[in-house]
Amino acid sequence: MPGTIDRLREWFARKRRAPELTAPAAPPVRLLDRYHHYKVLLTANSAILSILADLQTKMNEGFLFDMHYVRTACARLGEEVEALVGALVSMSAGRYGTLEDARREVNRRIELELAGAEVRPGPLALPLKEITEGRFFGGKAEKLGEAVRLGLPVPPGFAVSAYGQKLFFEQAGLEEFIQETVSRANIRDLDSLRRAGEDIRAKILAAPLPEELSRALAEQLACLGARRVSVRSSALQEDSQVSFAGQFESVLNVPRAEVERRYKEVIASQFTPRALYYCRASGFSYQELAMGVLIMQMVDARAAGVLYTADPREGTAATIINSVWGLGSVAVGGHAEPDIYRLEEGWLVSQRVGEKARMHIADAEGGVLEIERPPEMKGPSLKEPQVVQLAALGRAVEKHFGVPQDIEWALDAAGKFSLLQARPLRLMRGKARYRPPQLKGAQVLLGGGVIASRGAAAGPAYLLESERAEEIPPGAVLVTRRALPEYGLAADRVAAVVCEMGSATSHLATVLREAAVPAIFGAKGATSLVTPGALVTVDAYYGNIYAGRREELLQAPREDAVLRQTRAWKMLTRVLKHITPLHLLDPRGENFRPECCTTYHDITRFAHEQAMGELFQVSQNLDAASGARQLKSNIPIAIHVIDLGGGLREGAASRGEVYPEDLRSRPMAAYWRGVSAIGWKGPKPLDLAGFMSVVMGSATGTNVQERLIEENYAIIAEDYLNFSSRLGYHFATIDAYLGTLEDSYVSLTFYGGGAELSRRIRRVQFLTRVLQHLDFRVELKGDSLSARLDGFEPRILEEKLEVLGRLIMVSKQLDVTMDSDALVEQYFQEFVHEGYNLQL
Amino acid sequence: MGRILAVDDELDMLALLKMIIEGYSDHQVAVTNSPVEALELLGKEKYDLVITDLKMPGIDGLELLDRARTMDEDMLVMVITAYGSLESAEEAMARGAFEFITKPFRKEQVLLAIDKAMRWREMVRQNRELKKRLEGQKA
Repeated sequence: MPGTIDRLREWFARKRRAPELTAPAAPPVRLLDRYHHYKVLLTANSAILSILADLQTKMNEGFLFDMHYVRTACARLGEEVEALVGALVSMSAGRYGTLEDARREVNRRIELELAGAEVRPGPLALPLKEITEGRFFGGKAEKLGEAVRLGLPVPPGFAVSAYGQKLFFEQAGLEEFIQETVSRANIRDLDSLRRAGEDIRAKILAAPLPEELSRALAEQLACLGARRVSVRSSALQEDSQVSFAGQFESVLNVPRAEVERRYKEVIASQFTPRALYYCRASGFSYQELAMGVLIMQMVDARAAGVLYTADPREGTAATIINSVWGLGSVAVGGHAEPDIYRLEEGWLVSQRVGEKARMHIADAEGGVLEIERPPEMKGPSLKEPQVVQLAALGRAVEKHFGVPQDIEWALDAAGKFSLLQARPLRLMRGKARYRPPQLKGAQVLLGGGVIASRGAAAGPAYLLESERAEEIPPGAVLVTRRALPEYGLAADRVAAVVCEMGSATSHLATVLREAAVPAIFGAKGATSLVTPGALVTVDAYYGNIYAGRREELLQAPREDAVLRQTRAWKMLTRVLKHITPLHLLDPRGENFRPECCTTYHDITRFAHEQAMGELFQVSQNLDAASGARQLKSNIPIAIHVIDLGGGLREGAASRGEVYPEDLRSRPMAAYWRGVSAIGWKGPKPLDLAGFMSVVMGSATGTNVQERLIEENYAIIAEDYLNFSSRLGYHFATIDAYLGTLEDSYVSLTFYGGGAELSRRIRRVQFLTRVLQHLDFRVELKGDSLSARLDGFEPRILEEKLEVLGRLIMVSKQLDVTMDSDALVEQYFQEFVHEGYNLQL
Repeated sequence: MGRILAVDDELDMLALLKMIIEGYSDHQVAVTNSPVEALELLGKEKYDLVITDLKMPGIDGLELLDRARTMDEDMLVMVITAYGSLESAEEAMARGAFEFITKPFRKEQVLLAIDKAMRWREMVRQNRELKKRLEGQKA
């Protein structure tokens, strides 16, 4: 909070103008009281930071955890943040009440995530343009609603809310039936899951819709006035957290009289074996599967397909368009090899014309007809200007939603494009950039396929002729003609997938990418070239299939994609959005206010930062005997000392200024011995790169000089030190308590610096090496470090504190010199072997 | 290749254990979220190792451990405990559990422990065979 710091500065300026300070008395009870709250706050602060680190470690370092862990950690965190805010509010006599509001809000959002979205009563059906987020119409309908309001070309339509489904299930007694059937199913047995799904679907189709829902549907259909509609799922979770791509039904070309029945079919389609397995294995509740249903005027498509506004394999900037003749359903299901267009910076850079032997058309009787491609439909399904026009539409959608998009589109007979669906594009995670060596001299069975999901894997080839995914044995390389979405059921057990047809934009590819199963599509002749049972290696980096097991390709770091499939991992990802991001980076920043705290991290940072100021602020309202004294030493920085008891020599109590020899605080005296042994050497001479680095690193516009003269506070007691220093552009807080063996500790947090990030990181790496050498437990995150040492006799901790004093002083502006990684080790060796000093 | 039975009331953890173990080793994993079913399975089929959570409704992990070891005294049981319940892990070890792991854990931890268990089992088997052979020779 800039105001606080300014007031503090003014206050200290006033003190400086009056050098003849009267003797400060012992700190008043109010200050001691605040000190007590401050201690509570410090304890909470350190607990919060260690929980944050733990959460991130568990998430990023391949741990297996469950929902219990996520819930427990969130609960512990919630309690600590509550204690932290409570302590700050108490310290400040009720100021920062708004921080408590911020805490409640963050807490509410986390609770909401943990509870899952409960479908609440609301409108049963609304026209697309009235559909907004949070009204339980599902991601697909919400996105299209927004697109309509933006004026993008979306076919007229409406949606039925998930509440409609809830009402339907409640009134028809379906809820109990489903819950019972799902819980009776054996998740290890695909047939059992399939039977459960069939029972549920039959029950749904046989049940009548509630009267009000039926009426709402009829009214919306009358308003729409379309002869034929498409009926599609719009699941609450489908596009955001869980991908059941291709698993939920879309019914095209539905006559008005059939809409109710098709609505039920779409609703029923979610109870597939895969979804049921997922729900049980991942602990999803049936409520989280509730879906909205989208009903739009049918586009009699001349061509249709999918558009990605970025390359899903690399995330690189490019527009990829897949296009087939007629309705898009033929491509989505992997029944036809589409044309693939790639555009970069608005220009068509490549075009691969697919066979498109078959196409889907709207049947006059309703429904979809699969026919041979008529002879007049030859060559590419889109002309270049159309491709460019479509890509521009894609860019407009991406621009609005702010992230790369996965778009379904259709082109009608009049040459007009329509947007049928837009959702965030799923990019491959993690080691997307990794590439194994290219093999030379190995026997390539097949090359030139399209990479649908990057990676490499080996296994015995399994040629699947039928559509029965359960026949695929574990560990096999599935070789098949078509890229059917149903094969996604085997995603958890196949080593790799090779399809003769299909493209990287098919549903199967999406599912395989999510499951991190390497896959090559468009591998012509694969089913005849690959011998069933033969061991093959699928290289979905370069698009080749090799005979035998090629170890060189299989060395790739195997990412634990399976971990990321779990509900707990996804839940943690979601709650962490409300926990770890830190927006309050600069205490002088405009946003350094309680109202701007949107995460627990923000709240913690804010509270910790303000707490110290609060201890000082209380003295403003006291007489001169507030207890703050200036420490005069050979270090040219302002250090203000507050003694909470026994921290200073008795005689010093009579002066407003104190000297190092007055220090009786054991931790402060020890630390100061280290600080003064190194002394103030002034800023390091900068090389040009180092200078530029500071210029770049300090682009926030804060004046270096200003940062250097910031106040440093030392709150001391006989056994306690909390020394917050801002030396040469970094922030360091040393907190130490020297009591008994059990409760003594030294902790350090260190972050920031003047140089660019890489140099700052090298500096904290150097600090880490030294601190670990000194037995500290160190946690590093970017350029910030937290370290703690305990379990030692206070006497030993005193020695370590002295070394810490030396370390902090030599590290002052060390970052600007750290232009190579080698310096980390070099400085470390010098520091620990040359008497805890650096001769720079 | 060994056969493992994993028991946990958290389906998420079960699915994960199965995926991890089968994905990174040659062992086969059967899973169940019901300790009662686990006992049925143990009666019907042969397993080399049981991995069980300690806190489960109905029959808890300790009881499952006891009953599994009554059914087969060589049965190796590895228990998984939630964070902060080390006492129960110690209790499980005292009652004959082979190993315990605290949640959350790294996949390497569980894989190593399984490896250790399988090697132990093999050693016990060989030991018994040798003993038998020795006894045969004596006779």
